[in-house]
Amino acid sequence: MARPSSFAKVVLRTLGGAILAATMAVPAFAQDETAEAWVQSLADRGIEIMSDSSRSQDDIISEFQALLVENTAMRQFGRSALGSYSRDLSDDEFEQYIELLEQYASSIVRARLDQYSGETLTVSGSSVNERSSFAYVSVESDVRNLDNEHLAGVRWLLIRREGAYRVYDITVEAPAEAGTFSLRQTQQEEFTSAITQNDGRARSILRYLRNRIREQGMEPANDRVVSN
Amino acid sequence: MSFLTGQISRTLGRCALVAAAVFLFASPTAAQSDQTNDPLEDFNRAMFGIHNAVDKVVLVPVARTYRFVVPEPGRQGVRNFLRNLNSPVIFANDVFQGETERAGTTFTRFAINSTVGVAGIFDPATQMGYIRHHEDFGQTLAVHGVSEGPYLFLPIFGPSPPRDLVGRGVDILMDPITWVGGDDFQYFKYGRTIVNVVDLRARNLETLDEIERTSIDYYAAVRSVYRQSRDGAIRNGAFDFEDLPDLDEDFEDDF
Repeated sequence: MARPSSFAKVVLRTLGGAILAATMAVPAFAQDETAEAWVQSLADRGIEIMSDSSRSQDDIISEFQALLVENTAMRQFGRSALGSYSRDLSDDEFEQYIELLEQYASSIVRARLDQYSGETLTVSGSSVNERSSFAYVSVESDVRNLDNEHLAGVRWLLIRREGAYRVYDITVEAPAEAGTFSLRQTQQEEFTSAITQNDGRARSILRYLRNRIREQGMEPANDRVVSN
Repeated sequence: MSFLTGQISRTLGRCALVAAAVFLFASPTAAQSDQTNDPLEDFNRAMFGIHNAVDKVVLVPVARTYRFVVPEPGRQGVRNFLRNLNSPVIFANDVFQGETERAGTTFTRFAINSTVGVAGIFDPATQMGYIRHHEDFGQTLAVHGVSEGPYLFLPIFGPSPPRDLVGRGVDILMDPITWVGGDDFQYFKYGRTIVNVVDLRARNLETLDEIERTSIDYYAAVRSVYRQSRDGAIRNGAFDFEDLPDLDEDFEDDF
């Protein structure tokens, strides 16, 4: 059998090296242990705030909202939730919208405070998707009750940028076959629908948010008059 | 049997009529209808209102009573039994989707739970590592490229876009229980459906109540959750980064 020529050897070596490099350099979706630790720490802090019975409900909500503002990509979330309608808001209206969105999220937590009964959240894995100027990191976690029974799965979608993390979306695999849903997608459909019901006037979402916040027993932060 | 087949054909006929009506009269005119694929939104919202009224007056009180009267271990046993009965339908859909491993899991679960699990009342298969999953013909159609069609909401049935409505009809035809027994067996069949509905509602009392209390638009929230859940089920829970938008502006405000 003829031995391969030196050219053939070079080609084979290059090809082999390229295949090896490709298989080593591109793991399907790399893990991000720092993101996992970040989410675990954030969830632990949230649970600690919610379960502190020595504080008043207002203190708990106030601290929870601070945690939310500090650790979520609320502007990206808010823009996504409004879809193309986000361009119809003035800068001032957009600022009001973001502030109301943060308060709306806190009002939902307030509504759920009395339902909290010692559940814990444990991170179970992660995967990374690099984009041009940032990376998406998906962190999987598991909510369990005091008897360590699985209650729900929660996927945290983070934006990683220059080593810092912010929560962009949360997907809940709800218990009892209630369904799997992403907060971002659900809000997008709800907000778009509410705006469409008001002849496509994007500003109307501010009124909807204020009303919902009031219904949860809180006073909207920027209680200005909106004509639509 | 003739009563049964007559009833099935009447049910399927009704489903087909509704589906045909949806296709015929679906004329999305507004941009929003294009986005949400809900050209019958006014009709759907009216049906949603009727459904919620029936839900509050009938289903919720029945579900609360069921939860109060039957302790959780009893409810779990009934749930296990009914789920086990549905295994042949899940198995067939696993096969239709080419999911041989999942078909094997469904078959093994059925064999273990029907015997060791005392006719399916207990679920030892899960403890042995054979985790339960659900498949239906609506999902099978989706896997083979059939789109959902315009959104449709029917009282009692809930969200029922044409693909899933047809899927439900086919699942009924594929269910061996449909073809078993005489007229006396009808009570069991109706009972099975009623208990399934009541149990599902009983397990979601707080979840749905919370969505209603905290959502900006309850109808849109339910539509969104239904679609996302179906999409997740069709993908068997797989997550795809490619569906996410490519963000490229205003990061400084968030970081």
